[in-house]
Amino acid sequence: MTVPLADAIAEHVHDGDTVALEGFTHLIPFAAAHEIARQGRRQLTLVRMTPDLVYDQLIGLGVADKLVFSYGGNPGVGSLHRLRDAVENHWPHRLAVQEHSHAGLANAYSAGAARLPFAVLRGYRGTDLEEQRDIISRVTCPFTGEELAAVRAVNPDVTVIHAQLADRDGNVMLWGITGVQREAALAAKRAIVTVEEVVDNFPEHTGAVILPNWVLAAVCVVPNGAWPSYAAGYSVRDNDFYLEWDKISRDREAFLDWAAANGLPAGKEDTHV
Amino acid sequence: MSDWDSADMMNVAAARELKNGDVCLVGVGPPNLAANLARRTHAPNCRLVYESGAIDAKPRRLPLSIGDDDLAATAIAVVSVPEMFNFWVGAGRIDVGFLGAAQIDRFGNINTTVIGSHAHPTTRLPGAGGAPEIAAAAGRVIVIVKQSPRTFVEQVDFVSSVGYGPTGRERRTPNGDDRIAGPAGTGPTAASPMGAGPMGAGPTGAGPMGTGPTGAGPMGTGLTGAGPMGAGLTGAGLTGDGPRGAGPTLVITDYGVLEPDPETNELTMTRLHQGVTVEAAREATGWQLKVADGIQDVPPPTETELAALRSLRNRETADA
Repeated sequence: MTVPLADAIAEHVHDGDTVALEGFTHLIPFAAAHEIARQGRRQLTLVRMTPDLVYDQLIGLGVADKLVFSYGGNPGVGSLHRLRDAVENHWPHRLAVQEHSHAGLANAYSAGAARLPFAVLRGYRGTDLEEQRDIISRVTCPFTGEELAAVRAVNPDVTVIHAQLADRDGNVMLWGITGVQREAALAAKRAIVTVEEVVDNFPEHTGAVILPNWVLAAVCVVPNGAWPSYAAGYSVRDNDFYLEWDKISRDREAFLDWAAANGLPAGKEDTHV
Repeated sequence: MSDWDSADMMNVAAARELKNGDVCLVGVGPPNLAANLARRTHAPNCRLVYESGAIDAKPRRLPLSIGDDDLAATAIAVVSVPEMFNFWVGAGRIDVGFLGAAQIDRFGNINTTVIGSHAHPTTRLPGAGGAPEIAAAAGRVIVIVKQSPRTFVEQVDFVSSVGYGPTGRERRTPNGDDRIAGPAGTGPTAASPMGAGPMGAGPTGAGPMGTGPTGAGPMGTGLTGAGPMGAGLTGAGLTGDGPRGAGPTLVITDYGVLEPDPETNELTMTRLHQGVTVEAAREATGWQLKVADGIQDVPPPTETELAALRSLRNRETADA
C-alpha cells in the first residue's frame, strides 16, 4: 500500500499547486519538501502555520510564489532569513504573502476540512490583519447579534504530513504534538503521508490521530523523514541544526552551498517576475 | 556590581508576576524563560500551556521551541492546535498571556508583523502567531520587551495584536467598564442587540455574565465561577463584541515596569529596576513617557532567582 516518495510527489504535486506541508514543530515533513524541490516544482502557493526551516529552504530555492502563514520565525532562534530576503529584497524572486493569526489559519483549515466556506472566531478584531479582506472579514451572529471575525476556508490541492506509523492497509497513526495535521490533511484534495515505519497492527495509544486510508492519496515510508524536526518515539528535535540554520540561511552564498551539498537545485533568480 | 544585568531583571520581574495556580500561555523567547523561572521558584504549581497544544507541561529543561518533545511528554494533555485556540485560548481559559513585541505604543498595541508597509516592508518580522487571540482573550496580558525608542514608538507600523486600541478607549479601563468603541471603531458595544454588559470584573474574577439570553441560565454554570485554583473562564461575560480580557496590564522591560493609567490606559512607568533612572527610561521611550507619582523600585533578584535563571539558560534539567 506504500509508494516511493518520488512517485507520490511526481503524481500529486504539480507546478502552481497550493501545497500545505504541516507539522507544528513536531513531525514536519522535511524529506517530502526536499523531494518537491528536487523535482523542480515551481510557482507553488505554500500554506503552513509556521513556515519554519522547511519553507525557508523552499522559498530560498525558488519553489514558491506565494506564502500563506501565521508565524514565520525560527522558533526560539530568530528570523527566517530566506523568507525575509524574499519579502524584503525579492530574492530569488518576489514572494506574495497572505497572513493569519494561528487561530485564524487553524480555523481556516478546519473549515476546509468540513468543506465549509469560512470559519468564525473572536480574534482578529482591531488588528491590521483585517485589511486582507479577501481572506478575513466580519460576520454577525444570527442568534445573538455579536459581530465576529470570519476567515475564508483553506483547501490545499495537496497536503503533506509526516507520521509515526502506517499499517499494511495504509491507515496512518500519529501522536505527540499533533498540531493541525488532521485538519490540513482533510482540507486537501490530495493528502500524502510519509511515515517512520509500517506495522502489522497499531499499538494501543490514547490521544493518537488516525487517518483512514480512504482519505489519503499516498503513503510513503521515509524513516527520519522529519529531520531536523522530530517524530516522538523515534527521534528528538535537532535543536543544534535549528541554531546552525541561522548561520547558513543568513547568507545567500552559504545557503546555495548548503543546497548544492544536499542535491537541491536552486531556481534562477527572477525567472518569472 | 553583581553578576546580573537589567535583562536578567526583566525576566525575574516577569516571573514574579505569575502566581501559583495561574494558567499561563507561554510563547517563545523571554516569556518561556520567565514562566519556567516562576515554576522553578515561587510558583511551582503555575500551569504552563503552550500553543503547540501542551496543557500543564512541566518541562524538565528550558524548551528551545514551543513544540519540544519534553513539553508533550510532561503535559497532562496534548490537544490539537485548533482545539487549543478555540476551546482554551478563545474561550477564556487562560489567566495570563505572555507576549513579546517588536513595537509597542503607549496604549499597549503590539506590532510583530512588519517595519514599514505591509506590501513593501523594510523589515519582515515573524508575524502574529498566536498573539492576537491571546491579547484579546487571556484574563490579563504581560508584555515582555526591551525598552528603546525603536521599540516604544508613537505609532506602531502594523497592529498585530490589540492592546487598549488606537485611543486607549477600545477596551474597558482596568478600573471600570467605560469601554467606548469596538476595536476598529464600529461604534458603541451597546449596539449589540444583546446589550453588552461590563466586560468582566478582573483577570481571575468572573464578570457579570451579560444579561442577554445567551449569557444567563443554566448553560453558564461552571463557566463563570473562578474557583480557588483559578478554574473556569477567566475572561468576561459571554456576550458583547470585541476583546474580552483585561488587556496588557503589565509591560515589563529592562528598565522597569509600565502599567496602564487607570483612567486613560496610557502606559505609565510605575517601577524601575535598580540602577535605572527616570531620565534613562524617558530616553528609551519614543513618546512622552508618563511616570507615576511615587515610582517604586523593583527589588533586585535573589540568589535563588539568579541560580534558577542561570540553570534554565544553561538548559540544565530539574525535577519536573
